Amino acid sequence: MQQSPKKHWRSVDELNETPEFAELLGKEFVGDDFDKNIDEIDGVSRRRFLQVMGASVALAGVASCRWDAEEIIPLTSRPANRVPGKAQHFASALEFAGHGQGIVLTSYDGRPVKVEGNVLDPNSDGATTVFAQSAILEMYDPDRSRSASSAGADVAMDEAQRYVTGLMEGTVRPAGGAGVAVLAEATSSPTVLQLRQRLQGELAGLRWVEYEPVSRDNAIAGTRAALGTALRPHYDLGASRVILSLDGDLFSGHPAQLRHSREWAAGRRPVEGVMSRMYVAESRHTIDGGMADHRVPMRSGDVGAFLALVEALLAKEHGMALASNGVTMDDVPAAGAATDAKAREVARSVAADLAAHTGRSLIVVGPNQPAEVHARALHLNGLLGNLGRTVKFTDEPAAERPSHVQALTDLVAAIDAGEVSTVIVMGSNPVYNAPAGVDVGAALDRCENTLHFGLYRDETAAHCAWHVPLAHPFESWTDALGWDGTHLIGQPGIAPIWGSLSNIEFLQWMLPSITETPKDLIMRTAGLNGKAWRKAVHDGRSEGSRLASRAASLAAPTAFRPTGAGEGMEVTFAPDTKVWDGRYANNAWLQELPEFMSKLTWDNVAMLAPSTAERMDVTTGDLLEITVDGQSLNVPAYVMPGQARDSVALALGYGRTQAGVVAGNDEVDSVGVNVYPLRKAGISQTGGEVTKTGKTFPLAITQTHHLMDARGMQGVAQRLGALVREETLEEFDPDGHDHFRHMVHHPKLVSLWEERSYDGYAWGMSLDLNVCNGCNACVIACQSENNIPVVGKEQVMNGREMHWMRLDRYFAGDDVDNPELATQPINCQQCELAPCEQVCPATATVHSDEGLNDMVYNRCIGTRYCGNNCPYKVRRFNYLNYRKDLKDPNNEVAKLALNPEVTVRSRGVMEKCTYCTQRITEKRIQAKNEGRRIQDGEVTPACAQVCPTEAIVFGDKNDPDTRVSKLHHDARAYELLAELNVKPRNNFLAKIRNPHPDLAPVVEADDASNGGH
Amino acid sequence: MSSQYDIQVVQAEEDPTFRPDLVMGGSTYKSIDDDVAGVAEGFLEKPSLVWYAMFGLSVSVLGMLGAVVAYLLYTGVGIWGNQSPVFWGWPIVNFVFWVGIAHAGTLISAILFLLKQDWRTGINRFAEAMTIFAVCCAGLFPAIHVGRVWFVYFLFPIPNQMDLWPQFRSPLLWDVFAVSTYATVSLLFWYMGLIPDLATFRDRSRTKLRKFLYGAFSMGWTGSSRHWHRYEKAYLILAGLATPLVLSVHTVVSFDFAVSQLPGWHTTIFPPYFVAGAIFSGFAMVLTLIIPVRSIFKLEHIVTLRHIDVMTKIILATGSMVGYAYALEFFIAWYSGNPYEQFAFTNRAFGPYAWAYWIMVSCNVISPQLFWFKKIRHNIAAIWVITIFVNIGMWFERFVITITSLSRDFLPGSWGYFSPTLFDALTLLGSFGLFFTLFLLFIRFLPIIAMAEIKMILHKQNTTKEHQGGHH
Repeated sequence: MQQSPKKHWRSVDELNETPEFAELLGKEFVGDDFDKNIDEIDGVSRRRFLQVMGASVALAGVASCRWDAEEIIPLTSRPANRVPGKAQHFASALEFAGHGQGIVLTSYDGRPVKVEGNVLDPNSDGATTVFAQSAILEMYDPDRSRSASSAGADVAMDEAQRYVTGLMEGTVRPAGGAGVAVLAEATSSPTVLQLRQRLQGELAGLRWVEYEPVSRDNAIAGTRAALGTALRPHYDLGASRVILSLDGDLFSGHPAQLRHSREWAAGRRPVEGVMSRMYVAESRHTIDGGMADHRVPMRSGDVGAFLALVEALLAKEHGMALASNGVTMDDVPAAGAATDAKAREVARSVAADLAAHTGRSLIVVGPNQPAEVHARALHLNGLLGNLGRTVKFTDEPAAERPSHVQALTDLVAAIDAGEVSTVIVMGSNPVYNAPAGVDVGAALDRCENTLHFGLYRDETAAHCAWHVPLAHPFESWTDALGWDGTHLIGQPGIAPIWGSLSNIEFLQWMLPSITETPKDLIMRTAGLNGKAWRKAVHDGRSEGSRLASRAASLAAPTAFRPTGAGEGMEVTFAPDTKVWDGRYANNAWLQELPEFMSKLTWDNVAMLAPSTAERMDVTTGDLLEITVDGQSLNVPAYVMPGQARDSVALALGYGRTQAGVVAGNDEVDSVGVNVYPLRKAGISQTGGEVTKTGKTFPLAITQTHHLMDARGMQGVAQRLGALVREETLEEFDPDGHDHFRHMVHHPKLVSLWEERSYDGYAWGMSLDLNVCNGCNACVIACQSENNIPVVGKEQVMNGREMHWMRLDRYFAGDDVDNPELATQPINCQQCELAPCEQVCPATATVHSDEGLNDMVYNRCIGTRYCGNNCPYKVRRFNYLNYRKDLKDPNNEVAKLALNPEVTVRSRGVMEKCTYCTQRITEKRIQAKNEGRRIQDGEVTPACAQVCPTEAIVFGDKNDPDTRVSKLHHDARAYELLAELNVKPRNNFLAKIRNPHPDLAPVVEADDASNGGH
Repeated sequence: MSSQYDIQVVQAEEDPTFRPDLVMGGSTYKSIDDDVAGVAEGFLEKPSLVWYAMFGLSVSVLGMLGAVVAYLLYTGVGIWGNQSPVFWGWPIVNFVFWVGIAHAGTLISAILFLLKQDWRTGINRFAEAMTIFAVCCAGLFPAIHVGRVWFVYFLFPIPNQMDLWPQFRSPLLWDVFAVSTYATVSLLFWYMGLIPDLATFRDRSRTKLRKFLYGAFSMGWTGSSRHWHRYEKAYLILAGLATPLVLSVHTVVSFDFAVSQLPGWHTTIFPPYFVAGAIFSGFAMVLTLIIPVRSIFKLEHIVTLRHIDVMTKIILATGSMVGYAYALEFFIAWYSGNPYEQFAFTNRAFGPYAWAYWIMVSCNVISPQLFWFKKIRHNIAAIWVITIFVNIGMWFERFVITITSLSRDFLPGSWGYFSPTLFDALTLLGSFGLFFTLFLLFIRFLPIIAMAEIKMILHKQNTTKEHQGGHH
């Protein structure tokens, strides 16, 4: 085994053997009361999994409304393209916080069951985010609003329509819209925009307020400051050799995150000699930071000062200074984390790299940074010759609107002043997510007429007299603009399940003169008809449509003197990587998804740097009191290596009180803590106080469920070099044959059994550790494709999560406050000499003649011996009936989300990754009927299909020309635990880091010594 | 409190010229019948409150086990603490624990019989009964611990229309055969030995029902010379058959672990180490049970201190073997140079389960070393306490092997920590309910000492004395 030169650990508690830890070790049965009296533990008061998709009894009666009495008449002839039981694929579109994503729906017998990316959408290239993947579950969520309501009582849609018509005719129109406000969530839909303009044209006094709790307003303001006009920047990460991301969200949250990931991955191909270098300065972990070659944790408030330092170094050491108002070394704050010796060292390398790569470098700033940092970054990009090369501009459709916070604050002020008495809320949930001090609920209560139009009867609906259910995007004709302006056409995949309305239809209630169907309206917006329209619908986008590109000219820079965050604790807010701003909170897949860095499920936490935690004597699970401007909240602590010192990271999106049975409603406790009340208007970071309460809170963490002792850490350190194999670009030899395979020495391996040979296909997979960024899309894609159950917090705490794909996250390096990171996706390795198969007494797991390690659910009796003998621990056992929820009559609708091609497993049965065997079978049948072999790329497992960095490649190993065969012969390829002679079908591609030579850690020579198993 | 017979044994040991009898107290054939059968018959005349209290408690615990199992079948194995990566938890620990206990019986009956160790007669019936009951408890666990109990018959090679067989490479399947064979042979062996004594009971029965039942089970035994001839042959054959089983059962059980590739399980030392451990725990359990029984039922002249002394020596020997195995595991892990193995063992001793490891070492390695001292070997109370420690230690040995190895295997990303639930504890407790219920019924209805064999010893003893001219 290779001795890793670095010290590795998995959580800070391991590294610091605290007395509490020792005490815990002393107790028998650490971490759990012997009698498992979970009921007494605060926060997990019941078996959450039983309720995950169950809804309140009150709604149960409504369940039957969906299915009206109908006569069944057999079709005399089969409609075109419809074969019962065969999948159909429809292009559609989905908006994520106001930006369109092209998707493809997989549908069986008229019900969509799976979301894929649309390869024709230039914003996604066929990849998808976790949010898009889980939209299926959202559509079939039993907690969605199923009918209109008035004063809390269900009413017929007709009645709601009569109310809206009456309101419009009786109140709104006579007043010319005065006193009326539409409070809408952001949307890029050009058709909605046209209807809105029509409405505002007819009703001059109507206020249209757009509000999003998480927005890019700072970036827009920044570009306006730098360019004189607000343009939308588009980054070309593929062309960027050096990337500096400042608190950036390039790969998580940015509307173009999928394209960014794809392009960035294309720039990280060490074998082909293409390797960019990425620097990140940030306060909290983002995927940007996880992928950085150099990451400098610093408080968000310090990031501007770091940029100033880089600018000053560019001027001082490379003679590249802005024409006016440049920053010199004298202007850089002398003290502070952003400009201390360590930061200076990195900044010097950044400046050198940027100067050496003019026109091929990139500085990006995240949405949490103030406008002046955005503006300055653009100026520096201009100085480095990047504008027009790695940074291109188009029009910014949102340029004209006031900032979201401003718009909402003004509306509430107008309501308070009596100027507005009628409010129609479209989709937005400001009662939950308004900034501190903006009491939207009270304002709505004061209004005469209030109506909420949304997917759920949420917190805002509770303050509105009327509610009208919104149709899910998959249920209606929609359109949207991608980040680049591509006009995406969203055709419905299913009729509205609850008879709800789309945005367009709802606006038509207010504009009765527009009688065209939504489809016709979209067709008119797209300016297409006939064949071209049909093609656009088929492709999911209007070809060639995009925002006009604009040449940008920089205005004269203003003075830039960031002083840094000063002393004291900083509190930062960012949307959660799983539930975003809270809108996805009732999605059980997302709640149970291990957060990419903390591996936390079912909660949000306050992340603290290890050194800060040590100073405060805090460990993971301690309940903290966080106070900002007199407002206090209790949030559990999570000690996170790599978090900036003196900076507390909070995630938005939790603590919902009217979300549903998953995230919390009147009957179910909220998941996590709502931190919006601490978040001041328009500010992402703020000073605050953090104190210990002395209480603790149970957290469900999928990795390092419990504290780790020194012995365990030592064990991790010893083996990690063999598990996640990595080199620096300098060490790496692209022609080196099997170098990584031989990093672990072992005696000659002899097989116990005669090995099989494979005449037909031999499926294999390759997983690239160099580009896997831990975005989690594969985990949800797998869950959706393979009907993987959600088990709930209590079960996750007991180590029973069911994900077939997991992402192991490891820290490396000696500095707990700034470790190196590695993510390793682990699914079933489909071993040739599978240890699981040899020990199953029931012959329930057997080898297929294509090399798959098949799981025969019908034959499985659940001895779990296979799970014990699996060295990768990828097998998942149904300890309980995790599908009990589906028996609830109210959850009939949730069954529709199940993939009919995949068995729903009963309790007592083992399950694991199958390489999506149902997809292989489908293509095998097709190829056989057509008398040919399956082509490379024809079969793509769900995980590989969604991967934005194409880290997962699947195919036939028997054919030397397939991508997977070539990757298995890549210089970076290795098998995990090959020394066990299990002959895994998965190969990993080693991680190659590209540190700046001045900053590269001194790595001792490989101490590759003793063999493995 | 030493009985007069114990004192005689102790005194006799001071005298090198004298060897105490295996059957003491001037017993005669008649007195042995009276003493042994009296135990069961005594209940008829004077119902023992102690017995009823104990039986009531045991049956209640057994009933609780039934309720837990019913709940388990209804809900799923998730009621226990098993998780990922610790797929096997307490049920398997309990299984191995009970199988281990079940070892002493056959060892005493078969191997010691073949080796003509006469002292075995005092305790063999008792030990065999304990074996049967322990196998019952052991057999319960693999059956209920599977995820879908209603398909547990998939484990048996039953010809079926699908032509589908169990997987013969799986050690679990070997287990099925090994344990069921062992249970069958042990039961036969025990029953064979019971026949002459059942006939004695029949002959002494005063109620019709008893006479009928004992008569039926004694299969018409008359004690004729032909009967004895056949009986002795058959007993010898069964002893021969059972002897390899003593070694094979726990060897096969150890294969469940050793054949897997988990660090901490995958070691070749497991078969002998498990067998030694099983004998160790079996003898400890025999002593734990027989010490109170012989005192309550005044059988100190039949189960003498000499018997106990011999058994403590066996415990000392096997305990030392187990200790040696523990040490050797560490040595081999180090010597193998395999970092995963090395980690598995140091993690056991110094990781999060160190508490369990050191309980195991203290109970299994350190406590039996006290048997080097004759004072301890002759102190009934001390022996009883030590055997309890050994029982606890041997349970923890299986806990340490099963759970520490699973909780931290190859990939740290999947490491976990096992916490048992209330149901884990109730199931373990319930298995003791089953064991003691059967055991108390045995005391009440069956001869707890092999009377016929004791009489043979008595005969031999008396004959020897006659030849030597007698001592007393």
